[in-house]
Amino acid sequence: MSSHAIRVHNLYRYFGALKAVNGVSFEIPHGSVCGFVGANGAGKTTTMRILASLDYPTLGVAEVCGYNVVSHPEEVRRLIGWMPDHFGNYEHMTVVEYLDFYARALGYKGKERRLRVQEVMEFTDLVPLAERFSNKLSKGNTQRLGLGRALLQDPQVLIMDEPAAGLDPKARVELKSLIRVLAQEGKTIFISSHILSELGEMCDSLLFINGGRIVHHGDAESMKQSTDAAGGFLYDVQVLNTSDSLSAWCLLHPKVEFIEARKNGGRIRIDSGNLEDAAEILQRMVKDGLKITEFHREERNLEDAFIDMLGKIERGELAGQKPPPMPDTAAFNPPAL
Amino acid sequence: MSDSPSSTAAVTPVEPSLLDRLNDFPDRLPPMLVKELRQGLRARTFIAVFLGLQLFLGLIMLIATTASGMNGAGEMVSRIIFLFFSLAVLFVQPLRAINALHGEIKSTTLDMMVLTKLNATRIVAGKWSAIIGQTLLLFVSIIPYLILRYFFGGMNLFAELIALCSIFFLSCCMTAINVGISGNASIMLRGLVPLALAIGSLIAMVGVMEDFDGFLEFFALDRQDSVIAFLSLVGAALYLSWFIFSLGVSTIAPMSENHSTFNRLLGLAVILLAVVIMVMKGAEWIFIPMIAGILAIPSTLIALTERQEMLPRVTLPFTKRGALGRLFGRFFYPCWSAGMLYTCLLLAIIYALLFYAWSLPKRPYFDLGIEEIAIFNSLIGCMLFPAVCLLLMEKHIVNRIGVYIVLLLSCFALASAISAVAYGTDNQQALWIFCWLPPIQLFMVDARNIDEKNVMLVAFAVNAILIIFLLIRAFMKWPAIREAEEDALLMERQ
Repeated sequence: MSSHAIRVHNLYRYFGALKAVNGVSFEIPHGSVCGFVGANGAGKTTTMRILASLDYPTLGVAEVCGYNVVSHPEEVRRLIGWMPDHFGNYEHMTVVEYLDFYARALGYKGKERRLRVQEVMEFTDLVPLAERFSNKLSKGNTQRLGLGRALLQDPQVLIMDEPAAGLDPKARVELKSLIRVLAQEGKTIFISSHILSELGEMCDSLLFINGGRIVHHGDAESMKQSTDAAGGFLYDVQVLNTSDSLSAWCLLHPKVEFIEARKNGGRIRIDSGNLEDAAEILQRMVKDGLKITEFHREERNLEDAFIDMLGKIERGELAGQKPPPMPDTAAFNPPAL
Repeated sequence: MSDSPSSTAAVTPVEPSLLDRLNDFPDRLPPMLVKELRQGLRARTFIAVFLGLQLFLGLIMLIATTASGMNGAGEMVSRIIFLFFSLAVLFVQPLRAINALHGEIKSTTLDMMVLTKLNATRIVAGKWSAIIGQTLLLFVSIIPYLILRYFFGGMNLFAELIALCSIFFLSCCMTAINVGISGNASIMLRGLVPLALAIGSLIAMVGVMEDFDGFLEFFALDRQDSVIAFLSLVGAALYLSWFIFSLGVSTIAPMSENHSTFNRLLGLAVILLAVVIMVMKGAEWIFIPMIAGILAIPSTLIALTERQEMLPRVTLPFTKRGALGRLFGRFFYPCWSAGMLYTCLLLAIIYALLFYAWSLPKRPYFDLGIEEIAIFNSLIGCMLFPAVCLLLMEKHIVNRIGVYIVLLLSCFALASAISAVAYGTDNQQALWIFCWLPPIQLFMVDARNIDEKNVMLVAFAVNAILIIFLLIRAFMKWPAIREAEEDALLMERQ
């Protein structure tokens, strides 16, 4: 057995001039949950589709449990469960029939087939919806059905592309608890999401991709810290004056940046990790006539780290993995499936 | 798998009766067929057609029974049964396949099927067989009416059964064509082909109703020529529908599947069969080269419009067989450049056949002369010309076959327009200016003051230029093929 559930090495995927994936490398150990973070168009879905053997790399290696997705797609397909961000359901087909179809398609027969359908329906709590037409389900239930389908062959590796997109809070909580149970069962889960706080809670590690390149790989804490070190600290400042007065004050002080206006104040960034510097700035504010009612350092969350990281990339302060030079691609540039 | 982690309620167990219902179709049946039947049998179109046909035929039988004493009542009932059965199975049922594959592609359900044990052939065959299963249900449901009709007398039971089976067979072929074309990205192609088939079948139905006796006489198959004609039609329908069906398979298949080699071998086998027949029958069947040319169209059209990119995995079965396998691959790899060499191979055989036929003694009923050869050459040029255009704008095209067909039709439309002007102004010599456009040569053959021999020579010259251009471009792709072959060998060693 391979030491890693997923291994990607110097992966490229070009669509004509568009570099969707540009020299990505990472490894995910067995039994871990890895979040895949990035803005829209960063290359998340393309990477995931290649790992699911649904697309081909222009160059590079992508392996699932030691099997190369290009040379051994059948083996890869036996090991993975794939849940896309969006998928259509069939007309005139009930939930139980939908799962039964995929169970048949996966080669389950007779009693075993019915047992798989039963287990998956019970696990995803689809039993009350069994006789509903699959194309008439709510978004949350559709995602549960998608997860159920992906789990039918009891995969070792679950690849989930934006599973929580468009879900209401209740459905998100339910989906999260399902993923948590799967993680406890030892499945390797590779999941992309825009809801970073949830990823932070669920994931052992986070991969941050931008412009087709990995810019950070580590756990949630390291992601927050890596941006803290370079990006300073955020403070919530409440004043009796208007937020405009706070913003105007910040403009005059180079070490302080006004981030956003809030009711009775705003959010500022102080470009220093030193608490004495913060105390000094507070003193100056008071001295300059700002009527401070509250001044406290904010706990950074993943969303902040994400935004910071994007900002740094835009400013060219964070390059991330430097891809090796791409060889001539004229020989093979496959179209998407 | 552990219990449900749902935070809202305890796990609801599945009722055994619900799971028992999943045995409605046995495991022996292909999963796609089960899925499509479950969906299709609930579809309103099928229910409406099925019930409508039963109600209508029941009513007709009732009316016919009251008028059973009248002359020709039996034949009238037969006509009505044929008309409405044909409408249902030749018009409505094939049209149901219009969105079969595109619907799956659009809703991204195809991705999820690809990840199961279903391959592209099984998916397309499932789509086709489900509609055919429902058509068969319609076919079986009219048998009681045929039995009742038997009591009205004057029935040629054998001919009517063969005719009904032929209609069913034609429905199978039309459905296969529509399913195959339904995967194409061009809405024009997906819509126009089924529509043309449907309108064609309606026109044929009207023709059959006008000469119903002649129609049944043909299906009595009591003459050798009608048997040969019948079998030829069956063979041609099977051949054509197979190729369009397999086009659908190729459209949805992952790049790791090779669906081209078999089709090219089939095309080659049919041409070689034509050679054998020609040699055996000689001047009696002097039209064989023309037939061979027509039979070569589907496989060459697909070969000329395939994408060039190939996964090393696809070349592996060839490279494993050494130098001979690689040589074979140069003609049969599922890529455009190999398709060009394959086309040249077929053209070489067909031209050899043509010149052999030309050298044979002339026959009074079908003379293979300069005019026929000029037309033949021009038609080959018509096939090659869009392929050249396709290569010239290669980088911008995704749906190669769709663009190829649009280019082909545009060439014919342009040639028709130019010829209409030339003929209208009585300036047919002006057609020489456009003689490089192969469809124009077809009009030049009929023109006054233009020597057919010159047209034939020009057609030869144009074809030679087109072939040389295509071959040069094909050879330019060989380094990429070699790279894929080497990767395949490396993969095998690993």
